Amino acid sequence: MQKRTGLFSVNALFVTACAVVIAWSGWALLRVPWIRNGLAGIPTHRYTLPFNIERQRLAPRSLFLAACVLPVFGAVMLTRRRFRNMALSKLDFRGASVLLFVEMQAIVAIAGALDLTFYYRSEYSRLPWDVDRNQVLSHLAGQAYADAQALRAKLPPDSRVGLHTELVDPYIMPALAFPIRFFDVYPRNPDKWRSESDFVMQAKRVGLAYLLNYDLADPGGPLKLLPLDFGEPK
Amino acid sequence: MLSQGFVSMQMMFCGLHISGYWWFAMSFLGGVALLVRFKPLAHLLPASPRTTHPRELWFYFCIVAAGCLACWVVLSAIKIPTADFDGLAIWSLRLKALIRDRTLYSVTLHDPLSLTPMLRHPYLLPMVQLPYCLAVGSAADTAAHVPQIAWYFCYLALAFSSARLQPTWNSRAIMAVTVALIPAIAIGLNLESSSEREPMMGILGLASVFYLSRWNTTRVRGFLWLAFAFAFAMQQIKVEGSAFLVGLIAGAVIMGLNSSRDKSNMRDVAVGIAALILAALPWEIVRRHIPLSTRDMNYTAGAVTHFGERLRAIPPVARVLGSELFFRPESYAFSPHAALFGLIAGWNRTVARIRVSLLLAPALCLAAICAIYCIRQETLPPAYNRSFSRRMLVLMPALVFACIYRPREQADEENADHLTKD
Repeated sequence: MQKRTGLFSVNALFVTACAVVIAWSGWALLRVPWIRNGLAGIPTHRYTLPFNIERQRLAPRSLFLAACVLPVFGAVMLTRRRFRNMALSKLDFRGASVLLFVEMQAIVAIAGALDLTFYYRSEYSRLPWDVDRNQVLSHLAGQAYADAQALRAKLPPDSRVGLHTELVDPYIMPALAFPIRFFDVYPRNPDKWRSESDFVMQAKRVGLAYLLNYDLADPGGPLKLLPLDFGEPK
Repeated sequence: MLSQGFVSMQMMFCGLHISGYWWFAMSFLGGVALLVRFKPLAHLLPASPRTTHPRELWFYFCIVAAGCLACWVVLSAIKIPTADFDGLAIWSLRLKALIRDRTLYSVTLHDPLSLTPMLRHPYLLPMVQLPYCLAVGSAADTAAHVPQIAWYFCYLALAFSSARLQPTWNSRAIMAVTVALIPAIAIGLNLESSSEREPMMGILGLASVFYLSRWNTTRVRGFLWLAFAFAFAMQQIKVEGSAFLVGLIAGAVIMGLNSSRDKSNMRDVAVGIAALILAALPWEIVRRHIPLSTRDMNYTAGAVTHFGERLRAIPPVARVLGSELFFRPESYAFSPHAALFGLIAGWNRTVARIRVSLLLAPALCLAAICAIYCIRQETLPPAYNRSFSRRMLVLMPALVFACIYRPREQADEENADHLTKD
């Protein structure tokens, strides 16, 4: 027979209800943008950056749904006598605090996974398991993905291309257009590349076949492709 | 899996080409080892409660939450493509090049004019993923994510094993939920600001510190060498692992001193360090022969000469650090808060030497991350410096464990009436 002692008469379901209320109200408060972002060190003019939007992920609705899982789980457990005895027993202050912390942690952990489901739905208009790889790549890389696919369709695989781009990250095109190989070799004046001996020497060494000037702001199209011919000029 | 990746890497350093059959061979050996050690593996699972005390409810809550996160890991690994920018632009390209070339000695690696990023970054993660991709014949996300599924279940086993080390039910509950229920380890793979490498390094860091604590209580040298091996694997995945490895070695030295078996402990540490040096040598030799590319950025340039200017970057970095630790429940839940509480409340109840030894590795890694961010305040646009969440993942599980851990023999003297027997 379990000895029922303790300072506090804490029922497990009551603790669960407390966790639901605390999680909902506490996090609803911190969802106020200027409080949350101030604590997170995010300046007001950067609220809309994707990385910062990620930092604000964990919607109260996810917390609430996650917090509902535990009472349902508790109700199922109560159908067994062993767990009914647990639920009706008493805990001391330390035990009740630990149990409350466990529930809070479990709620937030489950809510984190649930919220990601909502995130995919809002970003891609699909559930996570229905998201297409091309959709993800287009979302991440934007126009660069479409341009890379166009380049792959135009050039033979394993082509060697000298790349010039103003993109902050020049590696996105080589990654998306694989197996086309890109090199950091480009003339100062693409129209008169034959007159630049250092460029010609480097281009011959790596076996360049094309030059690509990738400029997203170009009104004539972002992909400016120039085939190289190292034969004698006519 | 780590052994397979590491041996494959060494083979490639010697100029050999990798084949898909290598994976089958290593898997066969791994399966044999698993069968031989199956019985002791059962001890990794928590024992079934024998009483109906309400304090055991924590176990069931933890199982439900851990199960949800594990389901997400399996679902995302199978169905969701890699969604982080670095994984897309850098590591998937690295994997595709390896599938095509089957070796590390290729134009992709050795030409400084080739637009391939971070050629001098360690290669262990692509090497672990490579055999699975070779088995399916392409860099399919499903194949590349197989290691992540396996490692996450190892992580859960580690978390529950960490809980079993604790002497009381309450401390077991705290340890289990704070380590096992760090959401970012499970969902970090699917965030734009995260990557594949950092969750894996977090798991390896936890394993490393866990086995160091086991060496502390048992003095079985195998545990020490396992700790070194996991820290070395971190170092072979990303540069932050170097700081972690140095901290772990220092922690092992401190832990080995001031005990009745100084000489024996130091001998074990020395052997472990020697093995590390031998294992690290091939990569260091290969790395010196990889020329810097034309686009490589040196984040440490001017770190010493402009030291005074770097000091001005400390307050904003400190603010980001505080925000990262205590205001990111979507990534770490309340684990950092519990870790801080455990560190303060348990400091006077633990031998300082042991606590410092375990904390050195994650603390040194954290210091290195903060130092990097102090330097890059001036070298990168502000948007890149607002968070270092994916880097915190590297050390968070190990840090939480080290803060909350209480050696059983220390607690024996204080709470003899609360001890439970397995």
